[in-house]
Amino acid sequence: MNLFDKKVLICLGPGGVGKTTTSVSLALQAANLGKKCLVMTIDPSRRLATVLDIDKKSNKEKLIQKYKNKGELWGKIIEPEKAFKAFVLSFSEDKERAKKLFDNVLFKQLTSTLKDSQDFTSIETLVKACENTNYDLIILDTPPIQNLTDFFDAPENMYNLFNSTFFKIIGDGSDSQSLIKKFIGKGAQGVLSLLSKVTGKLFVEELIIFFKTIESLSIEIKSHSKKVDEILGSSDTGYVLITEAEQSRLIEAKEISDQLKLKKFKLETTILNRCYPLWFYKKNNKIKTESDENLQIFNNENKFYKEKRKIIDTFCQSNILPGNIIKMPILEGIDSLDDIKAMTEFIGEI
Amino acid sequence: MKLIFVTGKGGVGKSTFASALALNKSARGEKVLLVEFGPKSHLKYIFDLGKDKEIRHKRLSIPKNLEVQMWNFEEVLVEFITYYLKIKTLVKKFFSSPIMQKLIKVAPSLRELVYLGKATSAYRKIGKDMNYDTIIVDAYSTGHFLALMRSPVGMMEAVKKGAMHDQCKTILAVLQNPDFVEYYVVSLAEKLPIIETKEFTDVLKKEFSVKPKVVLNKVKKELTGEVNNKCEFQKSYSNNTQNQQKHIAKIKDYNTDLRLPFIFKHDSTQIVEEINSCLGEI
Repeated sequence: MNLFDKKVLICLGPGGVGKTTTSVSLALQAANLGKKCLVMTIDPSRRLATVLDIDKKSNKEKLIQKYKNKGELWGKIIEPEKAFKAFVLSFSEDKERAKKLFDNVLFKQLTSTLKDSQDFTSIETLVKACENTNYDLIILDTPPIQNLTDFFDAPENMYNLFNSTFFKIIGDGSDSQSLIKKFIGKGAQGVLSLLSKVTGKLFVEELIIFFKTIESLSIEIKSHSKKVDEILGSSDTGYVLITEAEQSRLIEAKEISDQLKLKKFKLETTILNRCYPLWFYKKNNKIKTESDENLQIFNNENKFYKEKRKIIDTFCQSNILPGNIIKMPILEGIDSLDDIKAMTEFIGEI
Repeated sequence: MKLIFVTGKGGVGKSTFASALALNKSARGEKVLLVEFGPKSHLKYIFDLGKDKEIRHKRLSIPKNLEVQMWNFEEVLVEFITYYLKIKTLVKKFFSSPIMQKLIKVAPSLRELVYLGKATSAYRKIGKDMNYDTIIVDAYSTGHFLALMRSPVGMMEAVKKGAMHDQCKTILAVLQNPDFVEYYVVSLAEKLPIIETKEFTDVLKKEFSVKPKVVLNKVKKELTGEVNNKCEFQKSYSNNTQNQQKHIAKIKDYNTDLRLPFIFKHDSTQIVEEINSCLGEI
């Protein structure tokens, strides 16, 4: 089966390996082959927004390029805070109360704490995009992963938060006086007063208001949570691992692949980025120089990349990872859509 | 006693630099603690931590003056709560409560605060003894590192008084004290890492009056003489080094005295050892 016959591709990988650029080059390739393809990324640095010419404030999908063979490239920049709020709003019966939650100081902290809410919102944005049947293929560029389990657990952790039923809700939570006594059962009271010993009373009160507001939204999430699992585990969903061909990264790649296996998710393709410089691919690549210093530099480089080729070849032949492996060269300064297009030549047929 | 944070964009060699720095200082007689934040260990690829038998390549044995730790959020939290509640059964009751379990999982920036709390505990004279000359933290990459630095500020804004507020205030005071804390941002001499390093350094300066040192990693030597454009190697290589110099020029107004060469090795332990010897008496 061709990689682009999937409906969803989830691109995983550690930070700083060129994951976003590679995801876009995959999308370009798919569009070039006649697919209607949407690529989504969190892109905190906004570089991709510039490259794809997407309005930084827009939260919408944008048509980037159209091909004669009906192929289309669409792009979307995920705004974690906006997506998070949209998620809460779409599941809240009482929209006014939901807006009240957005003003809560602890909620603000929650959405600005980078990691968890980024993982969560990128999965949620994917689920939402899947409702749109116009696309042949959706490619998700995930936030850098530290731990794959954390990434896949992020939705469940958030749902748990929104499903909390600890506090008996009375009133609208506007008066904060003796909240502990008013809303909470005796068992929990003990624990919270312990907490207040460590954190102070005010913190505990803020916390209760936070939970109380969430509860008052009565968000029903069980069926939604099932939908997320279905998409992540579907046979139409493929996983692409993007990493660099360095020793520790290769060990990491193996760990990620093992974690995917545990989840029964299928690793389709691994892309090893920045393998060799372009000169190394050339046939007569020996240096033409009279300077001993330059010769020394060449010898160091040449020896280094020859050794690297051995490591990469051994790794690829060992079948440590399922699926195929694509080797990408070291490319300089990928700044525009054309540069990314140039990348697709190296991806070739997959 | 010094507390050193090492950060930088993903994949620039944070752990390599932090490890080399730890080896360097411990070899000169300092008692050093090298710390990473869990749950995933990167240092296990460099140091022989006695577990993970399946890592086949040779790893560095840890010298006498150096201790390597991975801090696990839940463990540090238990340690911290135990310090305050004193009585074990209370601590048990605290953590077995379903409210606490749920809270701990999603509590905004609790993880960040707990790590910062422990890293700065010796200066704040609380918690377990941390008897080291230098604590080196192989910290998060830049984006997440900012969230780490902002966590006490955010909490102080959220909670205007009480123990939590006071704790955050003292943590922040330590982080901003140049006599106690140093910051290193590791970067590559490439476009995106340099832009990110500049932006990050500016934010740290603006929000915390903190001035990090920039470490330029993997800097390649330039060819001598005129470039022979008929030679593929010279063309490609000098294009690379010229770009490096161009990007380095863009960050010249920052503290970039520390430049580390590209190491022609593949084994991460060998790279750490060579970087260590490049550091001299840092």
